[in-house]
Amino acid sequence: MSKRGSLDSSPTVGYLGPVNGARGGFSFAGRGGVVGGYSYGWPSGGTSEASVAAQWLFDEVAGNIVDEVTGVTLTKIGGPTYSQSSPESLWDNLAPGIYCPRFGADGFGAAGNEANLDIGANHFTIEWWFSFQNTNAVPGVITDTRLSTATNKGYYIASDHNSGTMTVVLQATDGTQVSKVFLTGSTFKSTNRKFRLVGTRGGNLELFMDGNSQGTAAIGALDGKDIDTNNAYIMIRLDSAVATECAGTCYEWRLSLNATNNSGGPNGG
Amino acid sequence: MEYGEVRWDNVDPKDAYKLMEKLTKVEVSGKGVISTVYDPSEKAVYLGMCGDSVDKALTDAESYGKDVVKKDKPDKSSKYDKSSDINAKCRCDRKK
Repeated sequence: MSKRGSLDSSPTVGYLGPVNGARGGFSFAGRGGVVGGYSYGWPSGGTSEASVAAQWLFDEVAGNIVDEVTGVTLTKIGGPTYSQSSPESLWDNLAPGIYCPRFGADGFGAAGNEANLDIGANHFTIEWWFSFQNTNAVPGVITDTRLSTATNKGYYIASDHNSGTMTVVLQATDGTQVSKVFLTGSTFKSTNRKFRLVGTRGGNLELFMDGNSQGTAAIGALDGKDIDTNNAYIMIRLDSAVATECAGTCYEWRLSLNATNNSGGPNGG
Repeated sequence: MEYGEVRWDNVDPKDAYKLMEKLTKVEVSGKGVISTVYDPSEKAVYLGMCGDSVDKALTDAESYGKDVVKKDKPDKSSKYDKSSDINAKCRCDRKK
């Protein structure tokens, strides 16, 4: 859980406040020296930003993983492989990561509500740096905070590696549910991707992959409604329902509330 | 790119999840978005999508819905208003 990353990139901007329609509700102005690389806590650089609610860096060498913000611990499930090196030079300053080879069998989780992972009625940004190593067309789970797969309250993010789709499910405590499948038009197989999911309440949900928008869809049905967590799982489904090979390596997972944080990445991340 | 939308009414909450899960698996080729919404106050499931081969995907979606929600056919004439859901930013042109 140690801090890492580029501390000397002199990032120049912070959160730019109200949505302005640029790049899915936020804008950029200057990126310091960060081109394609990772900048911990970008744009602050080197410190967790106040708006970050939860952040895992996957730099543990064994055992459970610990959140950078308040120390929330997710328990190891199965047999993840630790200390994976960063994929080539694409992600400068971003290593190590943790490889979870078997979807449904390896990952990290905690049962019950984790307040730091609650979205509530807030705007939110979820980021994850992921190296896909699987070849099957099974969902690679990024996050699952649902109550159950039958009642579904919480949020869920999963990829289909063959078709290059990213599914996002959001369900409020009153039962209102939205599900968005972003079709990227490219496979994820053996690729390294930085994803950023930006939810503007009263507006759109927008997915960025390597800095490029993959489309938007309204989430107005969820306005003012509470998106809670009932469990907290990363890289594994809460029910571990399907066991097959392989997911990939995660290098960072981060949730920000009421801010459009960006830890960098290809094309600005 | 094409755009298509459809709505199911009178969907019980217990059926909504199953229907939405199926609908997210319809095959739309190319780049785009598949969007489903369940509004418990209206008991309505909305599906909107953009991409290529949307006509075929809509036909598939109707078929999937029939398997899950037997009492109502989807309403293709009513507007999928909840959405302005897949909107211009989806970078697809609405089908005329």
